[in-house]
Amino acid sequence: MPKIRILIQKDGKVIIDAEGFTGKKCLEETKKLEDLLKGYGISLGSKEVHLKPEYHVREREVVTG
Amino acid sequence: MSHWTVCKLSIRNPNMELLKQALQVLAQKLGSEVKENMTIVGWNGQAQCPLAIPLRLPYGNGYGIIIENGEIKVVVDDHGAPMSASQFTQELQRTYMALAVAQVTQVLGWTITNVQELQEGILMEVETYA
Repeated sequence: MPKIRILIQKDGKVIIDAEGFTGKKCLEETKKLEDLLKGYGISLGSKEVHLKPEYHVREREVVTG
Repeated sequence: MSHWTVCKLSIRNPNMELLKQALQVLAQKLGSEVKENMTIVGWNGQAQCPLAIPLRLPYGNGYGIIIENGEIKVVVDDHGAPMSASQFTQELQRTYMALAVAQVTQVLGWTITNVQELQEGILMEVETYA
């Protein structure tokens, strides 16, 4: 089951960890979350996005498979 | 594909009803309740606050919230208070964000499977059915 973990740290840093998604779905789903949060006046700025290692493994599997 | 994102939380023009709910969470922790339209006084001034948590403090009568240019400002004479103004602001922001995530996930049809208050902050786990 795809999951999103959100850690709201004491210093105001937010870590969003998406796992178990396929394709670009994880980015689409977290974007939905961020867009709706804007309606509450919340913006998540200075964003760093890190792709997980399994992303590259899956891409290689598609190419060779 | 999976990923993780690190970002900085900022709140501008908050939803006042949700802000009140977040304040209620803090008020409960402080053994008080939320009061509307209260004058918060301190050693060297006072401010009229639309939302406040009355509390007997060494030099003040509680924590107040004002919205200035869309930003949340905390008013308190925090000398000897259980939380400094900046600790209160950070905790209020975290709680507001957690409540907003809870409402947004409901709109999206997602399910919150776990909420924990950890040493480093609030952790929420959500199943998305994507």
